[in-house]
Amino acid sequence: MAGGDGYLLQSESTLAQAVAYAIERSAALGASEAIAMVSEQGGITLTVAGGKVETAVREGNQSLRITVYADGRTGVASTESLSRSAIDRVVEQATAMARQLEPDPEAGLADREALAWTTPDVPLFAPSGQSAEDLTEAAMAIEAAAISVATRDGVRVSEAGAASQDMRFALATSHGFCRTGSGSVQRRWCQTIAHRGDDMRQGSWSSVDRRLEGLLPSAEVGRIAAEKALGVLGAEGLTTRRVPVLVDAPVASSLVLDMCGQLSGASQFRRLTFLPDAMGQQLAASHLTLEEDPFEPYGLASSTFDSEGVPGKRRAIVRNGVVEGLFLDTRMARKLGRASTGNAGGMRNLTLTSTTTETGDNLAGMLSKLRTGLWLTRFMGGSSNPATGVYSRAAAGFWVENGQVVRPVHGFTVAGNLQDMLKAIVAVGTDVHREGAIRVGSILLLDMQIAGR
Amino acid sequence: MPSTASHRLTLAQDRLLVANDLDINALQNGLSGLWARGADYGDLYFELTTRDSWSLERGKVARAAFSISQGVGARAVTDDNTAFAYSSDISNKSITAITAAARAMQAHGQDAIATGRGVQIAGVTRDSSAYAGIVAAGGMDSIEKVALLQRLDQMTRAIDPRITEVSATLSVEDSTVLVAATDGTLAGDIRPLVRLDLSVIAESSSKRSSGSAGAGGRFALSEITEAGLEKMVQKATSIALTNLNAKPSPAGEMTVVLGSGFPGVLLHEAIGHGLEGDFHRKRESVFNGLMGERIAAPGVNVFDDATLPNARGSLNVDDEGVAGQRTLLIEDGRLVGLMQDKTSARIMRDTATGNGRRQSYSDLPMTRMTNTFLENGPYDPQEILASVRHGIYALEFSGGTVDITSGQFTFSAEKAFLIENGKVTAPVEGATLIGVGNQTLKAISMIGNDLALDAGVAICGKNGQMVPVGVGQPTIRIDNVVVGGAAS
Repeated sequence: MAGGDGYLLQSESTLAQAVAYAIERSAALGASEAIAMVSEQGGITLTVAGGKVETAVREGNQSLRITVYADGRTGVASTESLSRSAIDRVVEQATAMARQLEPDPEAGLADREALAWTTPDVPLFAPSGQSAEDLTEAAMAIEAAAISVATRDGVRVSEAGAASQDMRFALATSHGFCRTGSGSVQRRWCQTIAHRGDDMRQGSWSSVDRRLEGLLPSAEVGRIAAEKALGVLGAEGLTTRRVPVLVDAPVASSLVLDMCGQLSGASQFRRLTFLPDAMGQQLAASHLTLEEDPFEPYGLASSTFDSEGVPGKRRAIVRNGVVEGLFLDTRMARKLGRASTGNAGGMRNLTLTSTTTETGDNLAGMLSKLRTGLWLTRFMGGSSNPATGVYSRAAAGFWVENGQVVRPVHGFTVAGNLQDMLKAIVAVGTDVHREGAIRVGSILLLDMQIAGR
Repeated sequence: MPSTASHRLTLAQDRLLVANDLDINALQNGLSGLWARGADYGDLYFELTTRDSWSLERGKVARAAFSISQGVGARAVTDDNTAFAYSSDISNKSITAITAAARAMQAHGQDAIATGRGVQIAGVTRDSSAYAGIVAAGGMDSIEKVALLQRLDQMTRAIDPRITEVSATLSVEDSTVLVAATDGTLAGDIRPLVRLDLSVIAESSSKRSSGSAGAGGRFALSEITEAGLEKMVQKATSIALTNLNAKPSPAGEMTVVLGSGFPGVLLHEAIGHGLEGDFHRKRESVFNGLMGERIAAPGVNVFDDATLPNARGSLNVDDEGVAGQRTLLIEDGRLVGLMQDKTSARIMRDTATGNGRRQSYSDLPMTRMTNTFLENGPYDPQEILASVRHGIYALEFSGGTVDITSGQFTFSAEKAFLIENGKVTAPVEGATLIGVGNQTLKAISMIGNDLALDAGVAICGKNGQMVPVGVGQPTIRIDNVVVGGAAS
């Protein structure tokens, strides 16, 4: 399985030919503008439980998507077959559908000068060359480490997994832009169940990186997953009250996502936000800064350019609590009278920092700052309403007194309003965790409503 | 119009085999190749799905999308070890390649040798006939689809000047599937699926709020009526307008009355997932080992029913070729049945119940719900509301989640009111209901007589795979539910 192409079957030039053909066909059918993206993913996913392989999957997907514009009338079509006849069919379909639509003056290709014609490639491709046997071995090691965590309570593994995937794409537009790229992702994960009598609790941990050497060792993934489940055995309820809350770093990314949700082009344009016309307005506490980096080598959300061919920028989204940037694609940018920020297809690597963070603000330091209250380690559903900021989520974690963990707690919700909560963040820890493509330390909020029994 | 199992099978064979120069022999050879030494079971799953969707924003339908997805998946199962490979190419060559890959994956990367055991497959003669094998568009062309969205937009804007944004999406899907398995199964299905979604934003001088509604199912688009559109419009706008005046929900333990229809998501989360066979096979469910025991209040009867006519979660046959059926899960409060796919049924020595479902040919089947609902009880809904001195009346929800191991579930109300002295009073927002499945079901104290399914828009996610489902219930009263809200 080793080799320059990893698990992939198609070369970058083959993919480039497929998109070039789709663009050529759309021009022949009269589309004034078109953009085509073709991608291929390949890999192996292995899961084990009870010392045996449970599922072994060889993945191999490909798809081509063409978008044609006729005076802003937008027709999109996609196919998983890359044969000439399949491409012909979807290009015809996209063109025919576009004819039935109404014009949208802002829809269309990105401006020629905005495209990433010659920007340097961000390195993302690191094929592991791992065979099904290698991945089985890794997953088995995770399970073995989990069940070897010795306590008086039982712990078993419901699933330990290892996966390795490679992907490759080509993007072309009718103004002659055509670039390709390749990337890799390695994953390890473990789901555990701890039990004490009738009390059963889930735990899980995972590690994701583009490079094999960036992964947490298998033994660590298993051990942490076991400890997560064992640690919450015997959890008790919390009665309804107002308390300070320390949101653990691995789940604090959800608050960053709530923050970013306010700043997407769609929410700003549709005014599905509590902060319309957000630029220049205070969104969060004045010690907070949120930065985006599209170009981090091997970053999970890195990208040389976005799905319209526009490069992003290293930039502050929020500086000193004030909004400095939005997440815009070309169409939303035009509707808002701004320039694309290279975020067609999503947000890039994000980091939230605070100017108040000091060297001693590791987890123990943050628990001391919390003093007595809730250390929230798990969200279990619930919602935040982007239009009103109304926030209410089920959660679990640990009750802390005088900076010391006293007992696990569960069966309650935490509620507030994001408009106030983001401004009420008092500290961010040095215990930075990368969850998905978001890096943030634990977040301290001084006054949240708990509902329980 | 193909209205019997054998008609559907013939049509599926035409679209997936004949169209790709394949025949029954190719399937039998493929299965024989898949059935490596020691394998208990193997299957080939063919799929062709086309979907078109049309989006309206700011009064204009300016964007439409079309997709075609087709391929074949090969699975080999030994005990509880599953090997799987797939291809987006449907041909003799790809069948040979993926069956060899699945065989190799099953041997942990060492190539296994096919035993060449012969396989005989025969067409199923019976399925649930829950919907006809029609074309989902029902004869409506692009112009009519655009006009439908524009009509919906006009109706919505006419409701109230405070409605400032309207967006809507129409999606029309036609899926054809064919399953051939080493146990002799050969089954096909033609699955139409339409869906209309409406979302609105209401704005007053001080506040913005949103609301949404939808409609859909396994029927022709042309069957969506003006009355159906009117219902969607009323629902979406009333959620948004109500929430303009809503105050933060109270927090704490209280009596909750849930409305009929989509609030049945409570059943789906609180017990549905916990009664899926694969979670029992792996001893992950909080309901493991409780067969025959009381897990809900007397009078609680819960079904999973794939046979409801034209419902979004219905299936003529499941994705393992088993006829869709009606399965009684809870009878008068006692656990009496589980939902099973073939693998879990074989290992647990139970019977497959037609609940083996997969998102697509490139995903593995799991035990999944179809339409899951609570049966009617004796009470008039007004009588139920009148019985509550202080509580919450929740009519619409945005969704929910469950931890099946501890049984803890959460779901979020989108439209809710206070109940004071038996009267429905002020609207509240941000009410999140939490509980533990079996405890909450034991706390159901009144069941209404107004059973309804959701409007045909529910979607269920499990291990990253999304499938269309139905949820439903009559109005119910539950005592001592924890309501999470921001007001003290």
